[in-house]
Amino acid sequence: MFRVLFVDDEPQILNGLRRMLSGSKERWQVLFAGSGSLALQMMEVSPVDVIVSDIRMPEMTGPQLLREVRRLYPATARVVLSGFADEAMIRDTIGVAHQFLSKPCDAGAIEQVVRALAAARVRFPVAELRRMAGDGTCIACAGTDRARLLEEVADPAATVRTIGAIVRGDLGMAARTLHLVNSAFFGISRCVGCPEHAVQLLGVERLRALATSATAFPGVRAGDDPGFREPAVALHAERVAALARAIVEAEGGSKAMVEQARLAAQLHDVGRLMLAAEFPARYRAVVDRSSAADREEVERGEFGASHAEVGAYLVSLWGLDGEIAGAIANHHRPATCAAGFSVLTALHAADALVGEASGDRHTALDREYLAAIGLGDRVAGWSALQAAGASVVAPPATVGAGDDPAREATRAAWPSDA
Amino acid sequence: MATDPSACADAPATRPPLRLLAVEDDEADYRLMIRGLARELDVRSERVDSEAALRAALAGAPWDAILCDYNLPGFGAAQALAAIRGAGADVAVIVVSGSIGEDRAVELIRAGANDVVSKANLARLPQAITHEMANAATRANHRAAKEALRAADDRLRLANAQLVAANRETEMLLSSLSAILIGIDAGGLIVRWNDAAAVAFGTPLAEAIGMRWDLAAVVAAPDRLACAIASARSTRAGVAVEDLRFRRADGSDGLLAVNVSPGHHADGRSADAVVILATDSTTRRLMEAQLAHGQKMESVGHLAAGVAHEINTPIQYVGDNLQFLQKSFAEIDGMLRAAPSPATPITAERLAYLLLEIPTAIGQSLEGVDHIAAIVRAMKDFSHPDSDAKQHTDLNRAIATTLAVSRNEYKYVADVVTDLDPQLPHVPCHPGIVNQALLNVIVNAAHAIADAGRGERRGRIAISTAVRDGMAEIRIADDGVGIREADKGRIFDPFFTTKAIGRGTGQGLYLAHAAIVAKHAGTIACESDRGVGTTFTIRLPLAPGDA
Repeated sequence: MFRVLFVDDEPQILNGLRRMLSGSKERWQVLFAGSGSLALQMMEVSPVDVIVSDIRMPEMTGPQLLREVRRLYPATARVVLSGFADEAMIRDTIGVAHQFLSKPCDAGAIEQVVRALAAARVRFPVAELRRMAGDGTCIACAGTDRARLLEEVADPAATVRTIGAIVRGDLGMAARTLHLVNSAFFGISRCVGCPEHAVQLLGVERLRALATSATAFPGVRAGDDPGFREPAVALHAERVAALARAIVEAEGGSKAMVEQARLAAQLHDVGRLMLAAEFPARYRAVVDRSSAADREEVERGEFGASHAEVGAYLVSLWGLDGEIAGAIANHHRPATCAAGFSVLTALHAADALVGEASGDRHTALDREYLAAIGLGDRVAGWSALQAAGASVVAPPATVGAGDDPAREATRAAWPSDA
Repeated sequence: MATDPSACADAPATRPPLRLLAVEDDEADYRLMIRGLARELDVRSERVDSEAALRAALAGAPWDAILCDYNLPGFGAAQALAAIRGAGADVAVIVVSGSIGEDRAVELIRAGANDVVSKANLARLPQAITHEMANAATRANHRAAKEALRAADDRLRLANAQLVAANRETEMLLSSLSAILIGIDAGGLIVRWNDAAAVAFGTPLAEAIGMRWDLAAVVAAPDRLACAIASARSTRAGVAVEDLRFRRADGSDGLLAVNVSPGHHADGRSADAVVILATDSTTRRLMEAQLAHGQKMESVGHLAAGVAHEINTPIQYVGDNLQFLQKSFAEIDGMLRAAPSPATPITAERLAYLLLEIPTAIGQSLEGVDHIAAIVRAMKDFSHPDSDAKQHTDLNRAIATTLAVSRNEYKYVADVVTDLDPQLPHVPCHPGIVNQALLNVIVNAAHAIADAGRGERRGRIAISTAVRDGMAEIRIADDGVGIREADKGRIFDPFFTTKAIGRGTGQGLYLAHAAIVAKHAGTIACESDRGVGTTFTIRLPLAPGDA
């Protein structure tokens, strides 16, 4: 049975949650602990799937508890529920908490969060990869990019623009930044799909504190293949995001949908990053023995899940909108959930068209799917958008791609389906 | 050189004997001549008969007159005259000669002789000597007078130059003074008006000098300044006027800080003039106001965050409970309306649960609402609007209020124990200011305990009130880190802080001190042992009847 554990030093809070969740139609087992040490004792008897903890508690604080939970039970989804607004303490939760809920929080919203986590868990049954995604350190950023970020924030003249240029150039950094603004860590919590916009929302001062805190942007671990973290990955994500946005706008989608499509596109390859970082040799072997057509099948055979499913699970852990997780999970095979024009349609088409143009054909355009939802005639127009937009999305100027032979070499190491 | 003009040559009786030097080769002639002179004058004389002897005699004592024979063996009167005048002495030289022509006599006079007397007419010699001596004296007087005049002139010149330099320096000082300097004479006319005054009021120096200062044209409250000027005149003491609103030359308004000082003469005698020194204090006043406001906003902002957290918790559980009650009611409503049948969704077990939980949910929700109400009341009490008049205030309640609003600051690190004297009389004070001071001390206590880093062992803040030595005393003691010996003398200094950036600005205790000491004539003292703890003792004067 799906188990949820609430931890708060205020018994009235636990009473309220217990009553509110009593009589729920969900078949969850709901547990309550008045302190961090009690929570750990309970988990020792039987681990839980979700832990929802207050931040400020006497003796063991929320961040201390969640850090311990991450170490002992990395697969457990970790959620913070706190009315506390001290930035330093909130920074402590970054990297150890997947989601941040602000007190007072609508009772229904808490139930909804747990429900979404339960659903993600059902969809993604691979325990090994759940541990990997839950641990979260696999979405580290490149050591060199982290060094550049540290150098930049140490400069008093740093601006959101100069920091944004570094963040958008590293997929791990971009992903973490989007994570922070799309969950309520700093009370921002809105759907933002553009890393530079996310940097702007966080602000220079906060990024300065985040960059130097080590937990927000962990550097790449020893033994990781740096080839997977090069600007080409980030650049691909950015191009797909630009085209997905253009496609949604062309199809008359709402502003919210535009932002969802950008966010899904920015994060659609996060699963590749994670698998490549966690299992460098195995993932390289998978790339070597698969082609664009059977890549997902080979990934499933090797790991039990494809990179698309791994990425979708991660964004579910972060509590991003279900549509975004769905689009990421199915961006190679949109036909499985054929409906009208959706975020998934935009992501799939953008990924395929950008791939075609750049010679990285790991997603083949599913024309049958597009025809089935009545959009078969749009491909030419979208291709034109791609051609028009390709020049707009240039690599971040400060990265200097192409002028450094070493970088070129590692760039070439990115597994290409071409 | 200077000869006393009163000691004239025509008063021989009072004079010492005349000293005569005779340049004469014939001893007999010399005797004859001196004998003749001695009949009329008191004479001491010497005779020389060679140039070398003459020079030696000239180098010796001064002579009143020299009598010089015309014909000398080896050298004549001309050489003798050259030797005498060459020695630089303005002494009467009379050539005594046989019969010489008019031409020769004129030549001798030109060569420096004062007179020529014929040996045939020696009777004229005393008169000639007296006369020439008087001439020499006159010449000497004249020279001395001229010399004195020149010296005086030099001194004057120097003094004048010094005066000009001093004046220039004063002018430069006055004009480079950023303060406004205005001098007003006994008649109320402007006699000093420096550049700063010209700039501030837009009136150039040339227009201002000699005018009566029109106070109403520049300051909003001319009476205050006029009173200050009058008071400085009558009491002979400086008078300060703060925050005098004035209109600048550009039309904008500003505040002046003015000092009116009575004028003094250089010798210390008082003068009826006054000197007005003023500075534009607008910026300083603004900054002071912003600083005070900033500190208040900072503590309010800090408190607001803490209070928000305090209120969040009850709102969270009250909301959850209400959600539960709503759901429960729907379930019970469904049960009551539906005809009893096996399809009824509510089980006996669920019903029992609801019947047990609903009353406690309501009770706990009411507790939560009470809790919120208490915090809101405390917040309202705490931020007592400032008023000019002191109010009789229950310090025990002020402490309870301050503890309620700052609970979030200490509840995770310390237990608070209070020992409040129920007999404590109400104290006349500004409650808002006293609350703020108490808050600053309590927050410091909580920080000191947190800094002690005792881990899971909680600290303790003990607060007591009592009447001691005729004053109301509040003691706030913590068992935190304590204050370093080196810092003890500085804790009440503005901007002194040992806290990390963002946690303290160094104004809390300074303002607490200002609030207690300056605003209430109370005292605030601190005892601290490093590693043991700190006790702040605040004393406020009681109302006269209670002391």
